[in-house]
Amino acid sequence: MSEAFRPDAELQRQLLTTFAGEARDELGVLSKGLEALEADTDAAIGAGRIDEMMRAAHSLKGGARAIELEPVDRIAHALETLLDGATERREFGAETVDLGYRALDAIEALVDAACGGSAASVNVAALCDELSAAKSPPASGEPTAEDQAASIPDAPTSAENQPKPAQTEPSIAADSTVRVSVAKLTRLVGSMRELERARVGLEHATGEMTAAAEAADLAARQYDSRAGAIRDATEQPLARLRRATRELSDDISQARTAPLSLAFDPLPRAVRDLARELGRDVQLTLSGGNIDVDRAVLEVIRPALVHLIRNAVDHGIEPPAMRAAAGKPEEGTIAVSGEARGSQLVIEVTDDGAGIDGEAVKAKAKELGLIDEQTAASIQYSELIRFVLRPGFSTRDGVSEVSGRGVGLDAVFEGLTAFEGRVEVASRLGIGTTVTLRAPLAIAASECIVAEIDGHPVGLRLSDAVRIISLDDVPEEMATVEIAGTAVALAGPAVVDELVPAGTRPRRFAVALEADSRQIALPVDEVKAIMRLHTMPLPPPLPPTDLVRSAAILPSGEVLLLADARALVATLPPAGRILIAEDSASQREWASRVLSAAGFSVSVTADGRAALRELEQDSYDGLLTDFQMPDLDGIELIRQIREQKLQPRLRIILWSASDDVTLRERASEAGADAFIAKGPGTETDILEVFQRLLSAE
Amino acid sequence: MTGDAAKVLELLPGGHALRQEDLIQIIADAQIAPLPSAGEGWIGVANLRGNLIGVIDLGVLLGGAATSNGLLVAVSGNGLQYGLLCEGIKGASSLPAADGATIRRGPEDSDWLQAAPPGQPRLIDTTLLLADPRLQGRL
Repeated sequence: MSEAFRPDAELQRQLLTTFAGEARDELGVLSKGLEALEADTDAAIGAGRIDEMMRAAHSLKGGARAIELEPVDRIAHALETLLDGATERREFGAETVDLGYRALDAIEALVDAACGGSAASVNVAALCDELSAAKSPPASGEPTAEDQAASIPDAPTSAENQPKPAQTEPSIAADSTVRVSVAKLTRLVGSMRELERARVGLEHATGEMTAAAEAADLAARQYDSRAGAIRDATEQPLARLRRATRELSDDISQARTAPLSLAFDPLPRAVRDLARELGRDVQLTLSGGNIDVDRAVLEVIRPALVHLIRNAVDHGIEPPAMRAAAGKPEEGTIAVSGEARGSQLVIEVTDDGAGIDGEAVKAKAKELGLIDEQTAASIQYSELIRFVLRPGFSTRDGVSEVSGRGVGLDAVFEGLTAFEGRVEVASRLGIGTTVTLRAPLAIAASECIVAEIDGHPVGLRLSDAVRIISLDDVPEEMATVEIAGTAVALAGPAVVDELVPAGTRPRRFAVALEADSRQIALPVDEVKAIMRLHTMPLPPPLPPTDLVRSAAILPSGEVLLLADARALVATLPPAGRILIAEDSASQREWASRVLSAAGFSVSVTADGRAALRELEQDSYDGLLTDFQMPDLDGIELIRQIREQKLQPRLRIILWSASDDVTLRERASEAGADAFIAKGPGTETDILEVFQRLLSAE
Repeated sequence: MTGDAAKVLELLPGGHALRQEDLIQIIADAQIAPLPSAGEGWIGVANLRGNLIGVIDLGVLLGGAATSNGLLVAVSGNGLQYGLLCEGIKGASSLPAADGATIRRGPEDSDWLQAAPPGQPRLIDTTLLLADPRLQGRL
């Protein structure tokens, strides 16, 4: 008797990985099947549907047996038996569907555990017993001819007696696809890019060679023949190489795509289970599943959608009675729609639920110290609801098993950031919420600025850049630079040190970047180039860093780390809370916009008396007051604030259309910290002075 | 009973080795983009055949000084690819198979560094190495 084949550990791991991929597909088929069966409980079960599920269970069983994953083998077998019963019964009730789903969950857990080298806590024997018990003889009467035609023989109990799959399973020849792991495709893409870089290098070298020959001032006769020979010898092979690399690039990019529906697959099940658990009535609609998307993007989108859907059911859709009381249909709806807009994939997850409770978000934001009382009083709803995207933010008091953990939405955001994706949230109380995910359809090249700091290349996305400016005329001690009339904070040495091991010497340029309506300027030594590069997330197991989340490979083969504009802007200190006292509505509005854009929280009053009342009731970091105002002018306002010792740390700027020395002196005597004359450059002055005054705190 | 001998690549600083099956590529003069904020053990990112890999300074992880002008050894562990920057390669050799008697885990050492009899290099477990707390990033 020959010895059984025993794969070594590495081969076993590879087999397991391959099986895990197949198992995911088969579980997907079974899950969709269960979903359809549940929806059609009152109708006859189509033989095709059951056949498909039987094949999937059978494949699972065979694959598990081949790699000696016995618990999966047993569950898959029991599932096959259960499905066999379903064809005979014409009915597959909710309880049986639940049991089927539990079997799928158990298989998934067992496969994951096997891949991770751990043990899954699945009671296989009990589950198999339940599955076996769920199979019952026909409820009444004899099976119809149609039933008999559709039925599949009982599942055998040994491998030798397996149903003959030849009639139903596609042959290898008929199946013209080959399973390739995403990791292998990624490596292939890397190799292809290396080939492209080599081609570019070769073209460059050829050009140099030709130029050198021309410059060598060879005798005209020799030059003609030699240069011609060089061109002939290189042009045609280079043209072929150029075409081949382009075609290869297109083909590989295409091979990496998969339909968006793969990301939709887990959603019906997630909605069904959660709605049942929470007593909600929810209808889910999906559209745009046929859009081809890069698999790397799908891997981020898929868990993100599951999370958003669970949030929508848990936090959004109200219980039926509450909906009815609010005049809504008892059944809530969640719509997930995908759309290709140019090179962008836009997915909207919309529910017609309760919307985001601004007061609950505000209370939680205050509790977490994200905003103070004053900010809470003035913050806009649209700003407020963005807090739900922050790490650890949940309005639930306790941790629920559903979505009250406050984790995940931020993870959704992080995952998309690596692909230049974005998450937006919009909500109307009582009407519903829409979360929009934006990501590229393909991991395409993007325009990057290649800068240099102390000899290290640093990349910045051109789409984040506002301007590149010279620092030659900016004094070294300045913390801001003026860009288009606005004072923009320069990233400090500590921030630059997080990007590259940099010294503290003065830099020659700054690249101003904008994110979340705020700007920051990154000092650099040189701006070397702007070029299209394929950007990639930082590779695991390298942990993500605060400021660098992606990188690209330069034509030289060097790695270019890309600084994240949003993370850079987040290093700016909170800008503070400013009260504006200005009787001119247009100037009040203008100043409010300037300060808000720079990250300040702004409140406004139309005269000095109102400003005084506001300061008696509320706390501010700064006051910007006009001079001439009705009732109480700016000088008198400042004097009363200082005399009453109202908010001693309040920084006050008096701004006036009148710029005479006397007024400046009066302002200073009254207790103003600065005087600014209205006119050209006022915007920069206001921001710079407030930033200086408040940073000196 | 012991199985076949394990083929290993001996690294510098001496006394440490990698299983040949964990080795992907040895890259001389590798250009490593430094990433200061990645955490104690990681030093940056390098290009491996057009893809990115994180790079660990083996010298630092072994408690020594930072490696300068080293050799980058790209390895795989737990299905992931990464680079180990070491001083150099001492050579390739064969070790008796790990049967628990000749090579065992050293309790006094990092989990990823296996103990070995005198005269034999200590094997680096490229999967367990990734669980080293110094490679987990900033908390």
